[in-house]
Amino acid sequence: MRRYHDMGGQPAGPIDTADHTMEPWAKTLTAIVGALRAQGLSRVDELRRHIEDLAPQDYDRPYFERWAEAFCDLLAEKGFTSRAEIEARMAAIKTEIEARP
Amino acid sequence: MSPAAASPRRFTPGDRVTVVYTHPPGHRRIPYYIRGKSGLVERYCGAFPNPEELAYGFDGLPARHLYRVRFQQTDIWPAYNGPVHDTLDLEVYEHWLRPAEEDAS
Amino acid sequence: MNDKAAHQHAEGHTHAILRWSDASAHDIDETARYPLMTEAIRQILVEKGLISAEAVRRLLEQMDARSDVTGGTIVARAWVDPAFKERLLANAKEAIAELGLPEVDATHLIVVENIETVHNVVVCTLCSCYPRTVLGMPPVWYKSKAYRSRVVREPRAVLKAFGTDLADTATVRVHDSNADMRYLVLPMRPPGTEGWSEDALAHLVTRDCMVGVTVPRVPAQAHAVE
Repeated sequence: MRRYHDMGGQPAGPIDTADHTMEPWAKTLTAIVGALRAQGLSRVDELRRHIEDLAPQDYDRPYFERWAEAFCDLLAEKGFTSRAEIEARMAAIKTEIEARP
Repeated sequence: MSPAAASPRRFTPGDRVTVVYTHPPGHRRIPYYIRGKSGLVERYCGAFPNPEELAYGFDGLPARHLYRVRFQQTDIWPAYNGPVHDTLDLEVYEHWLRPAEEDAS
Repeated sequence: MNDKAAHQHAEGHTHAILRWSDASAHDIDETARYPLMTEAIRQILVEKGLISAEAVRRLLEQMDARSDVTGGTIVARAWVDPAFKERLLANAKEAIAELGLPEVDATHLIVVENIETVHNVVVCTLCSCYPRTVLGMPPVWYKSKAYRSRVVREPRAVLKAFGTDLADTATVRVHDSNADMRYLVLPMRPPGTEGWSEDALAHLVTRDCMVGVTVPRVPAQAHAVE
């Protein structure tokens, strides 16, 4: 059976050839992933596996959102953190930002 | 730098090879569309730790031989819309290759 | 003092987001899910000592420094120096090392040459492997489902969508960079550029023609710069 990410040769629609600027969070995420890899704490192959293992609806997210979800899974698998810890921190950061004058 | 592989190379440029037709679960670096297809070894790329094992936290050693294999597009896709001399190249790890059978072309 | 507190102290701000090096930082919604997730992960991994804030900053700078200018420099040199071109095609890593370009790791790079009878185009159908060291970050279309799905099966139609029409006498060669090697297309030097400086030639070489979806074009009003 063909896996969802393994899409070479599948029918698809038109290609959007426009350039899009990379969002700052996506750049930062790329740097964080690279930093963890540079420490020898993760491998590119592990991240690829987690991306491939996403449910189709998550795989269909824009590229860096897909990366972010897969990276959360990778970090949890390695025991570095958990989804709960990440979500709690997200809520705390949001509160802090919204409290700015 | 390529780590030394444990075994000698099985294939050389010019050999006709077939991609093994099997669909193991998990992280595989051979696309579905090329499985079971036959082509020619275009070059040897070196020996690399097996990414299919690296993905699960293993060291991927001993390194596996990697070959660039050239396929005729008309051998891959039914009703390929283009000339018969169009090609597709990709890299195949040695464990995904077997010698092409005489009658399998 | 942890990184976040030091940042606040130094910058006089109260926000928790890293300062980015480009102007796009000003119009973002920092409370959207993925900016929040990124900052949460950054804080947690730094606090746990798994990564350093300095390493993240350095990688951001490296990303900003990398672009297709590097690829264009390599192509222009190959155009003016045929012996260099042969060395580049035989062993990209060694040839590129001759140019002394900083931070370029061409260890697994293969340069493929376009000629009258062969046109090369690159994809990664399984994910989005791309020669970042010589081209910078890949464009969104390269990573898209539509490109990854279609270019292996109908490359000529995809090339047409980018405005590239190839005669049937040319072989279209698709490279699916599914393993460790990365590919850079060496486009054909356009006619009418005889005597141009390397710098002027490098400006003709766009990222899209080094991926192989277009070919270099001489603008109508172009002239050689000495």
